[in-house]
Amino acid sequence: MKKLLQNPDSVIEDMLEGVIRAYPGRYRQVGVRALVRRDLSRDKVAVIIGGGSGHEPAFLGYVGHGLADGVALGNMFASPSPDPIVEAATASHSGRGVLLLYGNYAGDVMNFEMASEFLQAAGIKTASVVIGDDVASAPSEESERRRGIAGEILVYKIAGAAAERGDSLSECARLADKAVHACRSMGAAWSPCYLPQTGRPSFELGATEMELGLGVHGEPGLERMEMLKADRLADLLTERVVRDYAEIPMKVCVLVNGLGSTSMMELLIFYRFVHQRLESLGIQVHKAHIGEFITSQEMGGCSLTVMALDEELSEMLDAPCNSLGMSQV
Amino acid sequence: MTGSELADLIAFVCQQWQETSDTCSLLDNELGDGDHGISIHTGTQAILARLETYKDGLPSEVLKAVSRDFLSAVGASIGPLYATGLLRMAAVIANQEWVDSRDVPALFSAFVQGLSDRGKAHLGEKTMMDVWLPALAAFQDALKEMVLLDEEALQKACQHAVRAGNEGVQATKEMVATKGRASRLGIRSKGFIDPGAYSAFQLLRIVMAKCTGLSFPGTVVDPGV
Repeated sequence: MKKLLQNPDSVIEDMLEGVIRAYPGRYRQVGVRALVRRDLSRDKVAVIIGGGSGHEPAFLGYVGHGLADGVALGNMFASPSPDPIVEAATASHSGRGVLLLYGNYAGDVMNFEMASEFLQAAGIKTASVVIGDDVASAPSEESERRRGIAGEILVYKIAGAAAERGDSLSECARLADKAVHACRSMGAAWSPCYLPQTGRPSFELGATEMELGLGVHGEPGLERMEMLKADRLADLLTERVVRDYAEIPMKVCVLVNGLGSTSMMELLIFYRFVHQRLESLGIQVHKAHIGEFITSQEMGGCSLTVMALDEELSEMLDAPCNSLGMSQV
Repeated sequence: MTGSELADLIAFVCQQWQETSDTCSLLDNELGDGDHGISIHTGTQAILARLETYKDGLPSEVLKAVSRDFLSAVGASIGPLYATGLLRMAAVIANQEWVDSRDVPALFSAFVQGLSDRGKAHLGEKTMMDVWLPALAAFQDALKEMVLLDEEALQKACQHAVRAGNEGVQATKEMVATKGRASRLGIRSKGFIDPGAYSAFQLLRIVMAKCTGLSFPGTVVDPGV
C-alpha cells in the first residue's frame, strides 16, 4: 500500500509538525501530543476533545472558535493517554471548568476518566460526556453501549456553541448530553484502510462486497453483503437510523461523512437519495453537512448521521464556528 | 531483589513480550483494528528507553516509573489497565528496599485487582481478565494447600497459575466478546482467541518463567492466525 509519509513510526509527530507549520495562527502546542487554540478566551468553559490519530480532520481539526479549545492525540486508532488530555485541559482552563468530550470506546473511557481524576485532584472542575451514536453497535435498549462515530462532530458543535456564549459547565454538559441522545448514525464500507505501521488491510472484502455497520477503525462490522446502489444504501441507512428514535423526528440535521477515499461526487449522490427518503418520511432537513469529518485513513465508505433538532439544538447548530474541520458564519 | 534487579527483570520481560507483538496484531486484525501488537511494542520500547534513569530507586519507584512511561507511550486500552496494575503493586511494597518471593502473593493480588477496578471486566467477557482472574485464583488456591510458604510452594503455585492462564486464553476462542472493540462484532467474535488475553498469557508466562526458572512445556498457544 503506497502512502505518502516519511517513517511509519513517526507519522503522528511528523503530522503535528506539519499542522504547526501550516497553521501557526490557529494552534499552540502544549505537550508532545496536545494542542490548544491560540485565541483562548479568559472566561468560558474549556472544551477538550481527543481520540486516536488516523481520523483526520478529527480530532485536531475541531479546535477553534465555537468548537473545542484543546485536543489530545493518541497513537493511530488508539486512545490518547491521560497526559495530553491533562495538558490540553490545564492550558485552556480559565476558571470555569473543563468539559471532556470523547467517544464511547474502552480505551478512551479509561484514559479520559484517569485524566479527569488527575484534573480534579489538581483542583480543576470537570464534567465528562461520553458520545455514542452508532446504532449498529448496540440495540436502542442498550444505547449506553453504543460507540461514537460521526455524531461526535455534531456534539462538539453543540457543546462548543454553548461554551462560546458563556454557559456554565453544567449547562454545557447538559446540552452535550442532549446532543448525544439526539444523534443516530450508521456506516458502511467497501474498501479497507491500512495502518502505516503494519501495511496490512483492515479487512478483506470480495470485489462486490460491502461491510455494514462498521466503525471508524477498520474493525469488522455487523454483516457483509453485496454492494448496494446509492438509492438502496441510502434507504437502508436512513431507515435504520430514523426508525431507532422512539418518535420519528420532524426536523433534523444530516451529516454525511466520507471515510477517506470516497469521492465528494459519491457522497453527494448518496445524499440525494437520503434527502429523498427523509422527505418521503415527512422529515424536514434544517441543515446538511457533507464531506470528510472523521475518516479512517483511506477507507472507502461513508456514514450517515441524523440529529433530531428542537429550538435549543437548532440555535447551537446554527452558531458560527471556525476550524479546519468545520466553519460557518 | 533490589530496585536495580527489578529493573533488569522488567527489561528482560519487555524484550520477551515484544517478540510476541506481531502475533498480537494479527489476532487484533480479526477482532479489532490490528494495533494491539503495536501498542505492546511502543509501550515496551518506551520502558526500555528510560529504565536506566530510575533503576537505582526503590522497587516501588521503579514500578511507578514503568507504569507512567508505559501509560504515556501507549494510552489505548492496555495503557490504563497495566499502568493501574503496576501502581497497585507499587503501593504494596511502598518503602521496601527489597522485594522477595514472600511479597509475590500480595503483589499478584494487587496487580489483578488494579486491572479489575480500572477495566471493570468480569470472567467470560473475552478479555485479558479471562487469563488473569483464573491464574490468580489458581495461584491462591495452590498456596492454601501448602503447609510451608517456601520457594518450592511458590514454584508450584506459579505452575498452577500458568496452567490456569493457558486454559483461560484457549477458552476465549469460543467466547462472544462483550467488552472492548471485539464486542462490536457480536457473534462474529467467536472462533478467535482474544488478542488482549493472548498478550496477557504471554506476559504471565514470561514473568513466571523468569521468576521460577521453569519453562512450562505444553503451554504454547496456537493463535490460529
